Amino acid sequence: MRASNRSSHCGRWEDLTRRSRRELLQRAGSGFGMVAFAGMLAAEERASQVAGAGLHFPAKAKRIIWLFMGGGPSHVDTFDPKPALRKHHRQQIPIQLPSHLRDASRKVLASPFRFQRHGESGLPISELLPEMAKLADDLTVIRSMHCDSIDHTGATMQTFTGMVSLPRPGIGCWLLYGLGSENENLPGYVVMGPDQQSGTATYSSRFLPARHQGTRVEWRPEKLVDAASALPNLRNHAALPVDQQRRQLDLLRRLNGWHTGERREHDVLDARTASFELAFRMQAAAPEAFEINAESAATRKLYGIDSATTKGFGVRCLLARRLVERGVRFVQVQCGKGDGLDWDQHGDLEKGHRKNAAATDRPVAALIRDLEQRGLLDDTLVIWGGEFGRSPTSQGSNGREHHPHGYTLCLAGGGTRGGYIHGGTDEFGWYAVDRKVHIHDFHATLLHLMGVDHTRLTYRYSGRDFRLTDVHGNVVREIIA
Amino acid sequence: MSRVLFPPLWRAALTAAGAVLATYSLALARSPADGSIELFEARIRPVLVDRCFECHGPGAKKPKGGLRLDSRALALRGGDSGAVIVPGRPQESLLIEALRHSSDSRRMPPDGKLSKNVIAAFEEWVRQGASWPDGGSSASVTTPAPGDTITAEQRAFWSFQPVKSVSPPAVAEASWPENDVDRFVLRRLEERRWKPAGRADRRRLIRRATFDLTGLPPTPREIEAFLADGSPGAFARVVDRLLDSPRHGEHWARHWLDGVRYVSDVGYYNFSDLGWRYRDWVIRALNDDLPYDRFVISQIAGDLLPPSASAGAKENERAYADGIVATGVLAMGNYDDQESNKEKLYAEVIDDQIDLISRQFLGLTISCARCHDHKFDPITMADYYALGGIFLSSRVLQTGNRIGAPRLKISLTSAAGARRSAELRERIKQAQDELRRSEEESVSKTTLAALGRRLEQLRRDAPLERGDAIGVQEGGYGDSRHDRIGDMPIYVRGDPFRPGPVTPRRFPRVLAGDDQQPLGERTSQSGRLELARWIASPGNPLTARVMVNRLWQYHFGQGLVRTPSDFGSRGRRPTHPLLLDYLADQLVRSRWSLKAVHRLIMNSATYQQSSEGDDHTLTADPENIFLGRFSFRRLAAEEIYDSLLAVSGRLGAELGQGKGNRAVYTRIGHEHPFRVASLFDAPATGTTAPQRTESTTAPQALYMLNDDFVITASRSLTERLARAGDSDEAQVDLAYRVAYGRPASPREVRAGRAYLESLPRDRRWTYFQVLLCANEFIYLD
Repeated sequence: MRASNRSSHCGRWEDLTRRSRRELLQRAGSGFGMVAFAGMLAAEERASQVAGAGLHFPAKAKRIIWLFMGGGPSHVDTFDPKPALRKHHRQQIPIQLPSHLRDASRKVLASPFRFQRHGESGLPISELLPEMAKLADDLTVIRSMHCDSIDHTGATMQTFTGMVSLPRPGIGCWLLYGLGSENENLPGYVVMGPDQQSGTATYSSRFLPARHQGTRVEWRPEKLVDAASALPNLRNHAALPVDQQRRQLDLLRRLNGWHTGERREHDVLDARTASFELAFRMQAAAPEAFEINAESAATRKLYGIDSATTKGFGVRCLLARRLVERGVRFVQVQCGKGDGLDWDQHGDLEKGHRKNAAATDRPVAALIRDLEQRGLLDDTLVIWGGEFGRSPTSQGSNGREHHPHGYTLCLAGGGTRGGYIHGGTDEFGWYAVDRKVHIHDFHATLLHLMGVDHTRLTYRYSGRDFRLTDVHGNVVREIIA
Repeated sequence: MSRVLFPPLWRAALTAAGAVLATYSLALARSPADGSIELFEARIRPVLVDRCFECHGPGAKKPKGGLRLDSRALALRGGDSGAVIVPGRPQESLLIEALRHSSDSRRMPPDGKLSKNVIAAFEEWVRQGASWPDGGSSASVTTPAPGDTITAEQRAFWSFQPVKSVSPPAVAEASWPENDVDRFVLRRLEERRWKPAGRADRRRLIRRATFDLTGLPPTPREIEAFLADGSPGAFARVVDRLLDSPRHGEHWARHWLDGVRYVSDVGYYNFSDLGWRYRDWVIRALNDDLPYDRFVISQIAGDLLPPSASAGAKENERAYADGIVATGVLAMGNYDDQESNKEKLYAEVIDDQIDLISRQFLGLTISCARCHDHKFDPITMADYYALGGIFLSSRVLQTGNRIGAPRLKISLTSAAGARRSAELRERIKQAQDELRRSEEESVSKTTLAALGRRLEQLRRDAPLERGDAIGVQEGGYGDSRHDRIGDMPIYVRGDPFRPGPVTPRRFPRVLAGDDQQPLGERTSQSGRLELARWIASPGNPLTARVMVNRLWQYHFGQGLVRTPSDFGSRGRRPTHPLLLDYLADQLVRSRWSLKAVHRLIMNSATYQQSSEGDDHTLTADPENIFLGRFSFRRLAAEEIYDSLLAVSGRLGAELGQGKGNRAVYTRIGHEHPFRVASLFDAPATGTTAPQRTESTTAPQALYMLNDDFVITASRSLTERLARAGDSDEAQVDLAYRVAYGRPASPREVRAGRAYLESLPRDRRWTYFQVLLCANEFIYLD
């Protein structure tokens, strides 16, 4: 399976001479708020971006929007129809199940939702997601996902960091570390939505330099009173007028100049003075990115901001588009327990899934369509899905248990094929069987689309070179256009 | 995937001999330079080809006895009689037995015994580990025997050698050294014909020392007192004063906490908010200069320490509570506390503990041997699971929950303490009753007073309510295969569902030797206490070295070993090996007093150098490896935060949870990241950071310009200066003394006055904020 990669396990020790110039520069202080070598790096950074080059090879996607459906939407009720479930409804499932089931029963539960084929590709999608269904030919559905944890925390952590429990940087941090940001006035990795049960663990930079951390921004429509409140410290707490602050910065420059004086080691001191100038510019530039009111009424309607049901998730999707448009590398949009859109239906599957789908389907489809209209979908990868799927057997009478053994993630844009189904689960949707894609493989593929070789994106920490995919991961080439 | 099955008899025999650890791993990563490969190519391979391949070679249609000898993996897999080579153990290798014709049943080659010399070469080759360059075969399984993976060269590695008692070298510039530390440093500079930098001026020196030992700026009064003290030993007295300050423990605790993934809210989901008890214990331990050996032992096995016979009941009760609190560090790991698969969960728990103990105390990356032998250091999987058995014989999580496992909540009152407490409560009740009766019966005043005093005394004796802590208990996990004290099996490829041979609990062989009595024979306990004592023994070559290196690192910015948690072969070599040993030796000789080592380091001329080296050393030694100057640094996150509190007069005087307001007391957990700290490079929640990075970013600047905390500090500073009631000039000057530890220069006063004059009264803080934003506030010479 992945044994072929094992031969390199722990053989990834850092060769200092091989480290790229960019990496050295980034370690010296770039990325979000890149300062120390701003002049030098900026030129190089731009050169590579214009050429569309990734870190290791040409990139198909330049940015990622991950729409994380916290709690775990059911694959057999959305993208992976299983007629056998209807046939065996309420009967013992006739296959060997894993020894560890948590609370799933062995009784099959039929899907309460109707499936239909959509688009030229004839992709089957359930009635839960009518808007996404209209974009069937843009979607790549990976039906053979699997991961290693049956619990929320572990599976969520693994979905973003590759590890079930060890504290590791999230994929957004890795990408920012590897590729930097395209807009130095904005954080390169933005997180919106309620924190999942793993807290900040999915976007913590861990051992990577702190500037690669995901930045959590305000996303609640009621709290987003003005755009400057989206990011911490964009607005002066004492409401000091800008001209006054300008004077402060002028004085600061003089005082720092006197302090530096004849010092021979002055690079970091100069860099810090420059960081205040950059901060000053960010104050002006960043709020504009969060100015939803700048969007036309038609656009706002497209995202469902006009309706109470879809407004919450619609705002997040629209902000995501505004951010990627401005060069943000990675946007993580979440829903889950914290905002009432929790896909974790241990009971009342039908009711819960209908509610969540109604709140998210239209904004998600709007985002994909809007990106397409703006010519951004080609190099923006959109990911839809949860930390796992749900059990084909029932929990209680009408619920489904967590299910990491086989589930679905759905992709659009960013150099993926569209109208394509990859892999599959068994007759009942229990195990991924055909062309299985482990979450490590998924990560390897995302990095590949971004022009990054997952085996070569490493960071030295604690005497070892770490990678996002640890010792695993095979690129799933079939999904690439 | 190839899979090896040992015939049961063969396996039983091997296990009985206690000889073979069936380690599934990659083909041993041996360097091609290894002499035994040459031996193989020169003496072994030709014989195999000539004399064995006919029956056991690649061309043999049906290899005799199922045995093939055309690759290492095949030879190790063996034939019908099992493996024929046990690397490192010629006397146990069937191949050698057959070549020697020592058994009747198996004599090879059958057509005539090989020459003595050739057999000796085979024996030597097996003894050296049976290297066999992999000719592209899919070899994936080896069965190394104990000892075979540790070569003489590995054993000779510098950090595994005992700490030497070294005498300081002679130096040419004999007047420079202030103490012996300097001789080691100066010698290396002189070898290059370099000169140390001049002495730092007194203002910079006291600022450096005060931040270094307490994480806070010196007050103007402390500075003036030092400047006025012209007597010899003035600086040494400053160092003593700072070491005596309770602020010292708060600051150095933060350094320690960086290495042990400290959080106050422990866990992701089922979190416990009792992590602070461990933090407060570290602060107290460092302030009390708890001997480092005791500091180590408490954290690994504080719960197992016997009460002291000479101490009173109350003291022992306190020591009991401290012992449990100290082990909280073992329970502070990051694992999925919602994990419903218990075997998997506990495998993560012990991995976290092994990683913590080995890196923080020993500077070794033993966790690398979880799934295979360590690739670079002589640490085997057996070493890993031998330690694993120790930790798996204890528990840090509650058992019996179907999904998830909260941390254990351990009462800090011992059984004896609880009995004593109950007795005392009963006696207090009796005394109260008696007092009440006496009052009613109107007895004499003196009797009443005596009764009152007795009651008072009883109340004083009553143990305090100590509450609960996270920590460790003996006995394994009741809801797993490891429900009691005992050894654990190797987990093949780290997989708890593929248990291999059971490994006796013991210490890593390269450090503790091959002939250890298994812990299971030495104690009926888990072995944590034995492990703790072994780590904290003066004879352990790593413990003292690793700790003095950490102390050095926090004083100078870089350690003598620049990979503070990796003293293995992938780590850096010491820049001053003799100095490292000298300091380690001094630590042990001072009865493990950390404060003694602080004194030694800070009273050296090396420490008191200026940060401005000469042009030559700056160019020739940009990393300051040779210590020809002091390294200029940025303040750490907590120092910035605490300095803002200090200069604005808002630093709380008290210590401890719920009382102190320094950064170290901030609640921190996966749900509560300490944003400001991580903005300025503190380790992210739950992550160890034996060294911090120093970044300069725009969000840091936004924080300094716009955040409530900084603006409040600026305003408080402004008010504090205004209360001094002086002119603008005097206020500017005082601000410089408070914030930078020096008077303002005339041009700085002029600039300040002009700026202040232009401001309305309620905006004066914007000037003082600029002083706090300026580089001089957060860079230290």
